[in-house]
Amino acid sequence: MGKVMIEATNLVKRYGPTTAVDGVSLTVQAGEILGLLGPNGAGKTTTMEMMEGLRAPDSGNCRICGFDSIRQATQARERIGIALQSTRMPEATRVLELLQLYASFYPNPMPVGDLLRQFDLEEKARTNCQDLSGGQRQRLAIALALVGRPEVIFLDEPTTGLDPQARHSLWDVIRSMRAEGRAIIMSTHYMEEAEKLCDRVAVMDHGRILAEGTPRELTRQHGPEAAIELDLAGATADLAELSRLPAVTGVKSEEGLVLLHTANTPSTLMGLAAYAQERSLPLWDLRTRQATMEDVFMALTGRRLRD
Amino acid sequence: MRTYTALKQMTQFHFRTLMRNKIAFFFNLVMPIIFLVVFGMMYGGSSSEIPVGLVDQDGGPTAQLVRQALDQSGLYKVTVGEEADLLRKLDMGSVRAVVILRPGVSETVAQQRGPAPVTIRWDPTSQSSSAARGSLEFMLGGIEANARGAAPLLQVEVAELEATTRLNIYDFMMPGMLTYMLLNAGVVSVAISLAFQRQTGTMRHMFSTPLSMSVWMTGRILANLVLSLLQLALIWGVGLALFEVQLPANLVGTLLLLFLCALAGLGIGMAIGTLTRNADAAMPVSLVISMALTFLGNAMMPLDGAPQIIQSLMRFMPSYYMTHALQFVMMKGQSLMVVPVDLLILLVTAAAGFTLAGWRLRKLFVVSA
Repeated sequence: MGKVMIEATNLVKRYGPTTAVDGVSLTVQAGEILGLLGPNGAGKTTTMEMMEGLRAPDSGNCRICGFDSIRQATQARERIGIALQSTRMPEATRVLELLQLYASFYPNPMPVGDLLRQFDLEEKARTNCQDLSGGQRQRLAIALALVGRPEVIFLDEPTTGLDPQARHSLWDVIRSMRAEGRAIIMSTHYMEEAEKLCDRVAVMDHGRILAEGTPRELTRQHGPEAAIELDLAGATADLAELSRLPAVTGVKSEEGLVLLHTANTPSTLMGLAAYAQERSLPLWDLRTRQATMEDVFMALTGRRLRD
Repeated sequence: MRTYTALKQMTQFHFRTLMRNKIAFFFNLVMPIIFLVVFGMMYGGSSSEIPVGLVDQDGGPTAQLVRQALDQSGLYKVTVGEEADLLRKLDMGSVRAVVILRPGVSETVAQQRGPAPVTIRWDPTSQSSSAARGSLEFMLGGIEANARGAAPLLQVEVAELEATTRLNIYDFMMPGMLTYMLLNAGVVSVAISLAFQRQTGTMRHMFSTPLSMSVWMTGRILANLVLSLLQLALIWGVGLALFEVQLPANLVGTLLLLFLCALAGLGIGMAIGTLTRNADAAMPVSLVISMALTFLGNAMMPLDGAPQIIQSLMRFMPSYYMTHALQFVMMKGQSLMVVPVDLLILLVTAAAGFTLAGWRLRKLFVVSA
């Protein structure tokens, strides 16, 4: 087991009558990526800001490398790197200048030239930050988070708004940071990102952690064995009848698609074929797949996690 | 060493931001030069109800006539006194011009030996004094013509204060221009840029690092002091090249005063930038305050003839004290000790602005348990 780098205990944050974060406890070890997965408004950003020391919790605390993130903020901040959600870069500042500025804040910063190379920004060193593409800007944001050689990195929805290519490129960067032994906590509302990138995932909704574990553990514990997606080409089906098909554990209909969760795919498929034939239902498109984090989220909350 | 490097980087960052913002660059460095050239070419002014001094060394009927004319015009508040005392008042700005009637004026008039000489002393460093000189010259020169339709009774001679004789008309615009530049750099540019950085999260991101508030603040101040030096050099460079202006009479005092003025402007700008809701709100607020400071600060035009409420408002404008102090120290070469009230007001303005901004920034970005 690696060294615990982030230890949040019972974090609570209220805004008037609303409890944005309700008793969140988490740990992250060195060389581990923990994903906070949840829809917008689930409390992910507020949770991360309390961990970072940017927002004081109403109760609970967070220790970063053993330092309290609020009471020992200076020591904690020397050990963390943060890429805030949708941070705008300063106007009229070039990439190289911004990296040099941030490097000056830390006792032992990384050489700026190395960062430019690592994040493929060498050719953009003299470009105004405002003129970078979305992917370049996100890479710069992570380079800024890394400039102080942090042991702990916070990434708040780092790939939001990026095209698939830029997103996958950023995943490689994040994996390389993990390989260097850094503890990484990232929020996301992309289930694919949580599944493919994170070692552990904490599913959040309404300010609470509903479940926590590796993606495989979560799907095993909370998801169905498998899922069957049907496109009925506009025809209507009785969901109550579908729920009585063999081995079906859950039924959901959304936007013309029917989703069946099943504990035994062949058995459900045979029952479904007979049901469709009896009622002359067109099975326009039918797909089977393993359960995903989306299914886990639906099983835990009764609703979909939308991209 | 680390603090020094951070401070250096922070100062460069703020300075670059000031210089690369096209709107800020225009207002800080280009527009004042346009003003200087345009005003320099069409300089002029007028005023009314002006405090003036009268030195009556003649005591005869012509002197009585002059005094009556001044009183009855309703344009002047006349103080009669000794020459030395009234010239000191002129230097300090409590009278705008001094009319001097030498012995023998009445005798010259009585013997019809041509127009009798009358002297108007004025202070070219003050726009109000310039306006007073113009109106007195016109009125005194026309006394006899008005009375009899004949040749002028008096021949008006004008003379500047001795401390200002080396200066030309363009020199006298320098304090107003400099006040305008410093106010723009501090009030408008800083307020908008600060509010924008708050709004977009760039400040929040910076304060998520080990950067301290004091380094951020000091960097901000140093950047504006560097800009104020650049503004001084630029306005004087253009003035020297085009209008043969003189270098500041008290250079050290001028530099210290320049920094104090820049700090006062910066304090106001930082207070606006931190207290307004966002950049959209900061822009109109800072522009309105900057314009009020510029035009009610006696920087750009004489306001002696303005309504009483404007005259009262002027006393609440830090820019009024900026212009006043710059006239004395920069133009007349006097010591900073001559303008203690101006210095105190500028210092209090800067301190109040920084205190408010610091309080607000700590509330926004320093998290305590």
